This record gives sequence, structure tokens and C-alpha cells, in this order.
Amino acid sequence: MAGDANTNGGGGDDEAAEVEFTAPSFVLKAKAPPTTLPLSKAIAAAEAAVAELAQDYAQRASEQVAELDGAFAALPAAAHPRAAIEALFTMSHNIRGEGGTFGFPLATAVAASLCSILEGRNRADETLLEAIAVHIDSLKLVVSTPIAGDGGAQGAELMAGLRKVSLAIAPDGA
Amino acid sequence: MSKTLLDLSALRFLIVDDSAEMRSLLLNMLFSLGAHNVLEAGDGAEALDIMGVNHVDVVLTDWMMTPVDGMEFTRTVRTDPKSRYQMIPIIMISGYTEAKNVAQARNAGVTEFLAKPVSPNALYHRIEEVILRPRQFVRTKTYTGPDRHRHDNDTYFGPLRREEDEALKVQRRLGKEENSEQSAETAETADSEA
Repeated sequence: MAGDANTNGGGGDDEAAEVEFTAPSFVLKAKAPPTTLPLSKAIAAAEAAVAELAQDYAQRASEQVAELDGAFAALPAAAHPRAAIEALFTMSHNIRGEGGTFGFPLATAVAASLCSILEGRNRADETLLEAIAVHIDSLKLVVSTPIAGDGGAQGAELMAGLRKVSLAIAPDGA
Repeated sequence: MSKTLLDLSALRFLIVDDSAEMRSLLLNMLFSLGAHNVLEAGDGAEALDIMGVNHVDVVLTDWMMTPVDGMEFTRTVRTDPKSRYQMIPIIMISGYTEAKNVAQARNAGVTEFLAKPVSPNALYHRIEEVILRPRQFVRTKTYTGPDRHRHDNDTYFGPLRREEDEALKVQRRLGKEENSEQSAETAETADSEA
């Protein structure tokens, strides 16, 4: 992959700015020549593949939310609250990343809100526990109904409620 | 004339993600886009092991994974003296989409950043970008990775305000030195001819 390197040794005042450049490699361009197939056709095929996977997403997401709920139930008695909160964050983050991709952007929005209240927390006080519970209940609703897309008016109402909860427990009291 | 597909069948992709769902999704997208050869890893450590014994052309990696996340993986690939793949295109796919996160990923040496949720169209265009418009590679004391300037260095003459503009500043200085050397040569030639 390496191309031609060109080093500027600098020296003196330029010593801190010592930079080596390597020319771009066009190996991949040679390995991936253009075809005559329309791009739109391939994109449509890929979107169809995603749609097929999305058919089972609500079921898989229900399992993920159940796992999240189990981890949350263990949080108050956790010996290492910070690690337990980080585990919750990781689970929420995965739902956040997958929901929208599989046609459930409302699940992504709820999970993103949950991530934002968990991020940087070292311990779980009552208000945080309540806020997490509200978010997990919202996720259960989204995946069990299931509510695909943004959920329309119901989704907007849900998110407005979660925003209030998140603001109420913001560390700076905002 | 409609745009045509690049033939991805000869390229080997490596998907690095701790979510089996996301790996399956990306695998299906790649196959639909014409890829034939795709490897999978559950985190950065497994990816490094795979890259140690397999040829890989393009990496698609998540950010948040344990024990080795996408950032640490990228830095290792870029800076480990034993790495065979310092210049490999790394496309980071993440839900961390705030500007500070994207900047952090770029500073670790990722080639392209793709925000979740992922669409086939967005994925293809990031792949096309690394194939058709590869960037020069830069090594400094504080950064190793693709040139972080998306604009064409030969035609951009605006102010350099960013911390990562150091490489471009050096390039400009080199260009000026080259030009002044050429001017001197021209002057010498003119003198000798006179």
C-alpha cells in the first residue's frame, strides 16, 4: 500500500513541524474497476436486504431491551456502580445505533436520550434511577407495540416527555 | 447517463463490530453492492489478529467495543511499527456523531466517518471515496494517518486555522522553497546566457 515518501526534516525552528508525506495509493482503484451495472440497482438490492433483516428487528430489539432491563434491575445493588452504568450505556448505545438502521428511529431517539443521561455518571441516585426506568419503559413500548418510523404524534409526545426528564436531572441543573 | 457501480468483488473487507446485528447488516449490504469477500471481527483485538494472517483491503469499524475499541484499533493500525496496514482505508461507523467525536476519530487516523443509522447509499459512497479519491498519508510527531484536508491542497489558498493544518503549512513552505529555487535557477540561467 505504501507510495513514495517525501520527508521534510525541518530542523531549527521547523523541528516541531517535521512531517513525512506519502503519495496516495491507487491500488484499490485498479482492483475495483467500474462496471456497467447501474448503481441505483445495487443500492435498491441492498435496501431490500436491509428491509428483510428489519422484519425481525422488533423481536431482536425486545430481547436487547429485556437484557437492558435486567442490567438496570441489578444496578442499585451493584458493587461497582460506575461499571454497571457503563454496561447500561453500552447496551443503550447499541440500540441507538441499530434502531434507525432497521427502520426504528424512535427507538434510536429514546436510546440516545438514555445514553445522554448515563454518560459520565459514577453513581446512581434515586432521580437517575427513575429517569432510567422511564427510558426503559419507553423502549419497551416502542419495541413491543412495535412503533416503526418516528411514531408520529405519539412518538413526538414520548420524546417531549423524555426531554423533560433528562433536563430535570441534568448535572448542571439546567 | 446514470452512475455505475464499482466492481467490489476483488476487494476484501473487514467488518469490526461487537454487535452481531450490525455485522450481519453490513455483510448483507456489502454483498448486495457486489462484494464477495468479507471477514468479521467482534472487537479491535480480534481484528488485529485477523489482519495479522489475512490480506485486507478496506476496514469498516465501530467505535465502542471492548476490550479494544475502534479508536485504539485505528491508532494501533496506523502507528504500530509491526503493522502491515498503516495506510489501509478505515471507515468508522458510529452513533457518536457530535463534531467533537468526529474530530477525535479523524485525529486517531480514520479515513472516513459514517454516522449511524447506516444506509446502503451512504456506505457505498464512503467506500467509493476511499477507492477513487485516496488521500496522501501524513506522519508527524503527533499524527499518523490520511491527510485530514478534504479540499484539494493544490488549489486551496485560504487561511490555515486548524491545529491539524500543520502538514499543509509545511507543504506550502516546501512549495515556496521549490519555487524560490526554481526562480534562482532561472535567474542563474539568465545570467549565464547573458
